Amino acid sequence: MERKLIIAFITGFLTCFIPVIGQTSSSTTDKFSLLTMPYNQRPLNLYKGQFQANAGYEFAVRSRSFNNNGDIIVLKDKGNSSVLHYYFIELKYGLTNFIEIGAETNYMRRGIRSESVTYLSSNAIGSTDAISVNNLKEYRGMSDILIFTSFRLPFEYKLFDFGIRGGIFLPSAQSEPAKPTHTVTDVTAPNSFTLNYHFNNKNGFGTAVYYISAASKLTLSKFTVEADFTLREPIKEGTNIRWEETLIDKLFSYYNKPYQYLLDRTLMVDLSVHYQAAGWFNIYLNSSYLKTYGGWTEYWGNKYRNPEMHLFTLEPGFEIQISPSLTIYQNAGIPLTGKNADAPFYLFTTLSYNIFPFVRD
Amino acid sequence: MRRIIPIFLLLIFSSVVFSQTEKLLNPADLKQQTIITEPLSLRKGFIRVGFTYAYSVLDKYYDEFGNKKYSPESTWGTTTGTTFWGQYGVTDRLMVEIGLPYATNLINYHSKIYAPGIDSMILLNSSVRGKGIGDLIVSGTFQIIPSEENQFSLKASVDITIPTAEKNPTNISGWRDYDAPAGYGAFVITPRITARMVSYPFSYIAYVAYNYNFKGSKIMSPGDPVEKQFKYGDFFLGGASFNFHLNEWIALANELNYSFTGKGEVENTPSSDLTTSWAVSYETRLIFQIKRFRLGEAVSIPLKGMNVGADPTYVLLAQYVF
Repeated sequence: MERKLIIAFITGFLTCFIPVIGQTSSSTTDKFSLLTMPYNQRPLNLYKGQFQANAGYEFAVRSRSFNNNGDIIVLKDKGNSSVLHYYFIELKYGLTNFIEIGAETNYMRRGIRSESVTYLSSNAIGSTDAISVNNLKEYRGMSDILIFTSFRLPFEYKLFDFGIRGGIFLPSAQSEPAKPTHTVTDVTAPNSFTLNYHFNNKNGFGTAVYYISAASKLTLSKFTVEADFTLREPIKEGTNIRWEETLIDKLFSYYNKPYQYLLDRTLMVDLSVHYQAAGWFNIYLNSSYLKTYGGWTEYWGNKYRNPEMHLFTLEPGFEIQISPSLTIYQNAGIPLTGKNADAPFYLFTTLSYNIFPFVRD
Repeated sequence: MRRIIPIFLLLIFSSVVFSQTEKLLNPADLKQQTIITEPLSLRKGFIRVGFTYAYSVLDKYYDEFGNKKYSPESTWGTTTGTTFWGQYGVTDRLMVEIGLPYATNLINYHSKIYAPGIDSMILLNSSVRGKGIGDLIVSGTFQIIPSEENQFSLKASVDITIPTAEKNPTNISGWRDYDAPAGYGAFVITPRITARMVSYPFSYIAYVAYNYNFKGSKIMSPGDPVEKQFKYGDFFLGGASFNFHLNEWIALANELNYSFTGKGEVENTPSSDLTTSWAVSYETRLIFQIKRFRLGEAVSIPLKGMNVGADPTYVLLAQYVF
């Protein structure tokens, strides 16, 4: 009897213990496995103790735009296309498997030309005066720093994940434009010359901006669908300055006037379909919808509502795991429809560096 | 015990160092070598075909004082060049190649003229279109110090540009409205010396090249009634790169180079249209080696310069070895 009891006890113990062991052994916790986890198997957040640094560069060619009727304007035919250089950096750290903190910022440079205009007039001595006007608005500088915290569902990622993120853009960057650097060139007669207007704008918001987003991810074998929703909302109205100029004897002098504004509310929705072609290679197609509305700008003491803008862009891209620590992402942006929006074609390349700085194994 | 510890440490250290050695190759792998591990020219009997596609815009430039400036007028330009390449290894140290470029350049000019006195407004739209097959390039490369079994190797190359393409502007409607030629209009000989040091997974490359431009004749600007004799300023290019494997099949190259173009002549007289210029540029290349197929992306960014464009150039490269 005692022997049967011992056998029954051992059998019962093994019956219970083996499945428990089987459950736990499926979760991989070594650094190498976590760092090389394919997109379709990893959660929305970083793992506990994981540090990620992302550095990206976007080269955008603004050769088209959409007007207020949604019609395409071919800017290159008007001679005022431009390019955008956008450098991006993001740092993230996984506090737990379900909570992540991070910060990001960017540096942007672009120069937008307006149509050159020449004004002709006859003068007293019978010849013609010609004043040509070129206009360039340059935007250059750091943007505000976004700090954020992300939460995701508190269980291991298998098929479905959901997360939310909240943050704030701190008004760390310059928002007031620097003094313009207008010049007068090609002086051929007292009243025949070229005026080159050059405005030097910055990229800061000028006021703190809230940021909230939600993301969900569903994986079915090698296919994954991810949906993201983001809202940006200014905390309050801001004050900025506009530079005015006077021209006397071909020399410019400048003064500025303050004005008030309220930034637009920005809404972004992304929906992407991913295919994990190999453990190291993920290819995807993202569709992105951007809408801004609700802001206003003061002109001559009156508040004028900013035009509502929306843009729908298709973004094919890929992700390649180069080494356990290094991943490269690249995507192209092809704007399809929009209203009151620039429609740049762009290439965005990001290098992602991942480590577990405080984990030994 | 004291003797065993240093021996043990030495063994651990040496095993780690030796474990970093380059993978041994069988003959089939020779066509799959990366930009780090391949010899400086193709092996005997190997054929490589491919193309490079380069895209840039005309948005900013370095003026004569070295200041970076935006083009002030409402103009917009893009330059797109695709060169198709074929290479053949005559011997393990001698390679010949042929290149055929195709250009698609476009500059749009748009402006408006108001004449209030006569109640008139004129819109001016014009474009300079440069589209077509460019000049043929033939090239020969010889490994002076062969790459085989040498960490340090040296090669000498000579490129000859043969002016086979159209050299004069056509369809001229105005001084800013015509089809620009895709051809250079003169023979060019470009000797080039390249040195490389391989220390797997790294390689270090330094090179110098010089363009000797022969005299030619062509219509220099669209308004000219006849061709003028010209000679472009000589061109010098020198650079060095640090390259390394990110993994077994992806390599990253980082290059810093300097170029200088001397003053050119028109009708044996120095011309203000062919000015002296120089540039210092940084170029980064990411090269994927997928079996015999090679795919690469590069961005060349002008850092400083004088009388040159200041916009980055994006390059896409694809090659296949038979």
